[in-house]
Amino acid sequence: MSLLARARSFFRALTRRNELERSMQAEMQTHLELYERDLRAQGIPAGEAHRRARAEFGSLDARKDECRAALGIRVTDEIRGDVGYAMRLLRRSPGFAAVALVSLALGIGANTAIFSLIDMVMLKTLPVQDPGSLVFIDTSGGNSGGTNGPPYPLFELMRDNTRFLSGIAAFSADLLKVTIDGPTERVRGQSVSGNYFELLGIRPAFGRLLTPEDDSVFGQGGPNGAVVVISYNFWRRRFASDPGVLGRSIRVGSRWVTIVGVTPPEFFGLQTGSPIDLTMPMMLAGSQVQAKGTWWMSTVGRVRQGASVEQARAELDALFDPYLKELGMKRDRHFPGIALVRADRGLDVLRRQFSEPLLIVMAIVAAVLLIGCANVANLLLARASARRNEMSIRLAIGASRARVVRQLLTEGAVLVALGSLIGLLLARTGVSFLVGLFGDRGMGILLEPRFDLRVLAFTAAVAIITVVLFSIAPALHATRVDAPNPGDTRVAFTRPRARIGQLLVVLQVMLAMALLCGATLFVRTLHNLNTLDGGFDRRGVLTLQIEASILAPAVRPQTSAEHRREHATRGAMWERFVERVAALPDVRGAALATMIPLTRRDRGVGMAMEGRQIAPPQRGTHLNTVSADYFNTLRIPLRSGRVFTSRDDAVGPRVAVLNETAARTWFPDVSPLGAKISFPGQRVEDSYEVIGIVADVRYADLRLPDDRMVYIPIGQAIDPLSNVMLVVRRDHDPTGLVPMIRPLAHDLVPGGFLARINTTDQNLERALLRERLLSMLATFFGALALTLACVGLYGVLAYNVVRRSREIGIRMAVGAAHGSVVWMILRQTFALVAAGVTLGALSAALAARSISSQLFGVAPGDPLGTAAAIAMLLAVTLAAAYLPARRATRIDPVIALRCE
Amino acid sequence: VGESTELLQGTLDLLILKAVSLGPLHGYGVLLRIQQITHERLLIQQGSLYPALYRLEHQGLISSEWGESENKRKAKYYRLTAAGRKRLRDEVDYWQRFSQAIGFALAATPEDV
Repeated sequence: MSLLARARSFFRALTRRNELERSMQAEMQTHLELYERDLRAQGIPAGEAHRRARAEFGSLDARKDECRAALGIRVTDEIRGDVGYAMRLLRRSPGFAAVALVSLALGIGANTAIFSLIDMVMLKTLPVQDPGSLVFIDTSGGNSGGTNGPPYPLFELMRDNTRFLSGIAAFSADLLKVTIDGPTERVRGQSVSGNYFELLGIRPAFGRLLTPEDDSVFGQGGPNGAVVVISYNFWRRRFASDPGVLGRSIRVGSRWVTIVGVTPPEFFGLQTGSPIDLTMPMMLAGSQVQAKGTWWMSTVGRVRQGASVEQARAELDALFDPYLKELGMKRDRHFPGIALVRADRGLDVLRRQFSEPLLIVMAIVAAVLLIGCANVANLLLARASARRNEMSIRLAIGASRARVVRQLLTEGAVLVALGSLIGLLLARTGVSFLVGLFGDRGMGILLEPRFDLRVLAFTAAVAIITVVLFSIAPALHATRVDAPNPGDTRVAFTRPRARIGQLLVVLQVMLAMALLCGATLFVRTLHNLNTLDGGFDRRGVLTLQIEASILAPAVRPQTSAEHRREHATRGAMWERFVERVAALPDVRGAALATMIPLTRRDRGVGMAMEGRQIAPPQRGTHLNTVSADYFNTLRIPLRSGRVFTSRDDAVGPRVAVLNETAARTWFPDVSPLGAKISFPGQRVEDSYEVIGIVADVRYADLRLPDDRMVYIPIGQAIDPLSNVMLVVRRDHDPTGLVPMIRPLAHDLVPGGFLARINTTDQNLERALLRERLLSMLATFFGALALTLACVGLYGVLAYNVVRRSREIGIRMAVGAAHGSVVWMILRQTFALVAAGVTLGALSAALAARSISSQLFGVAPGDPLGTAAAIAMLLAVTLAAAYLPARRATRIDPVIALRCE
Repeated sequence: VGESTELLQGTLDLLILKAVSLGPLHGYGVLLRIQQITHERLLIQQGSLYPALYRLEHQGLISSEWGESENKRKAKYYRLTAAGRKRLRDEVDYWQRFSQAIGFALAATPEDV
């Protein structure tokens, strides 16, 4: 009697149900007929034989039921029956069904949506071979989360000297200008060292991937020319899945390259949210490959089997000091040392930024689900008293309590199953919306909204917990009736039922209050950041990126003087360009800059000062290369000295402007004007005279304190600039300038085009995505919680009025005024709400500590926000109490007393 | 018909296994065969037969297939499976030891003690 035989028999019975029923019927029928025949053969008359055969056999249906029980399918039959009954019950009370289903669907849907976002952003591991042994090599001591790899020369040093890593690969994402068959387009690409794919263990979908040989000749790629691979997605989207794509030549920038392979469909690169479409060899990435002091790429390594991460780190860290020394630098705040960051889930730029907000939102939606559960539990409790009769009868005719509890749990499960289905549909929409928000306005975070098994498993788990939460207590409660007197409906579930219901309302109000308090904090944070003075005037400013592949000169610059000449040529082109933009109609100011506020562009350099020793930790600074009118265009106030003019060009003396923080750090005691600074380790090591000091501007993050910034004129750049940001101020319709600027960009260089077209307001909006997300979701779910709590409150009050209608009738019969009846109802309500509000405010104050890092300019327990939350709850309470209170005053004493 | 004895709990399964071990039988045939081999000394509830048959089949001790009865009717025939044969051996073994022990006990006289 193996388990297998039983399972086989069970499933056969389930799947061939009709056959089973027919054969049971036929078999027993035959039995009866044969027995009847034998009885007749014994001389018993026909009618009597017929009767006796049946009497001795017993009820055919009962026998069949015993047979079904023997096969183990009775339980499934009962569940099927219970499910059918539950569905009929729901159809019969559509009001109950609607409220319960909406409560559950919203709660479960919200949880599923947020979890799937968490899944996408935080949990998924990279689809590469053995992701657990991958590490990012971070030269900023882990502060960047693995993004800040070493300069290319240091990478080579590490690659060639490591013993504890089985390999190190470099990669750097970039927006590439790609020409396939029509106009130039922008493609998310990356440059990688030749061993990248081999290190990650990725196999091509077809064709081949890049090899170290493809990345062996500087400026050329492989010995046989430049080759690239494209992503599966790009191949499908851009080449219509054409298998003939291998061997095709396309233009990247100004260079012709050959496609040799397609990466597998599940591979998007190493950064979550930034899928890579085109991968090319590092040797084509330009002169930065040779720059010793330029930090621009990321590196990933694989820890050798048997080696520890710490061994590998120490080994690489030992190479760091001599390298910095060669550059005249030391470890400082920006470069505290090498850290190895786990890489199994990819570069965690997105995760670092969004994991905390997402977890907060997860907690919020969990609270919403709890409120929804409390609603359903309350409704079920109310229904339990209505169904007391049914339960008594079921118990009286012999159902065990366990059987009835099982029936009630099945009803709960049916509700949750339906709620989950609707919830999943809602979640799909919600996720698409949220993912859209991430990808909005060139925000460029592309996530794949997909409900994988993990998300579905999560939903199932939530659903099961939900059933347990809301239906076990009512089920146990409902069956605690005395079987003998089913007819008695007067003895309602008085005390205990009322008390549970009230507790649930307090819980709901508490959670809603906490969520509302939180929402006000996030809304005010967003408002504070939105209205923060970032150090510049952001109204009416158009910002865009000019992409110009300025051809490198035939002879590659080698010496500092040659670099200087090359940069000056480019600077002159840019200056001519910006003059033409400034001449467009109604333009109040136009300027170019390598970085502008809130666009996440950055350039960090080490600096040195003539005749003055700067402590190593303070040598790092941001560097912004700008055209003359930059400060005027963004209205950045001048503090002392002067700003650049058109005479500060390639041939003029080298000049620099500092921001206040830089001036204060480097010159705490004297005026910086006239001091000479330089940037060691760069292509051009000129000395720049400080001529002015301007106000601090928040470039990267509005929340971060101001950082050091050096400005130099575009004609005196230390880098060969081929894409820069343009800012244009115009009082009305700044974006209307775009069609006029486009041809100018084209004139600048053939193929030059505009990208990242925005206004400063839009940049701000994008920079505040996290805050916007939090305040929007917190507000939305806070409102939802409020609505659900309102429905719960209404349910309890309405039920109370019905339950106490006899009492109210008597009170009114002996002369109670309407007002005192209303007050009686309201008093109880306000007591519940007051308890909930107090507990909610307390728990919000406790919880707020863990969210304080997400707040700005507002403290947890903020009185204004708390007051607003209380006001909203009171308003909702009044709304919820209005109808029941009015109904109480309409009770006719005579009817109320008679209907008992 | 002699005096009938109520069936001891749990013995119906054994009797069914024994009955079908003598040759494939349909449900009513099982009943007749049990009456025959017990010399009609035991009273079998007509209705209790089928749940027992289904239980044994569920456990894989007997198997069934449709065939034709002696008077050209379609009937479901049960036969012993390999697992059923083993079970029958075990049960017979057990039963014989059990009845022997009960026999010894009941035959005991004061002198034996």
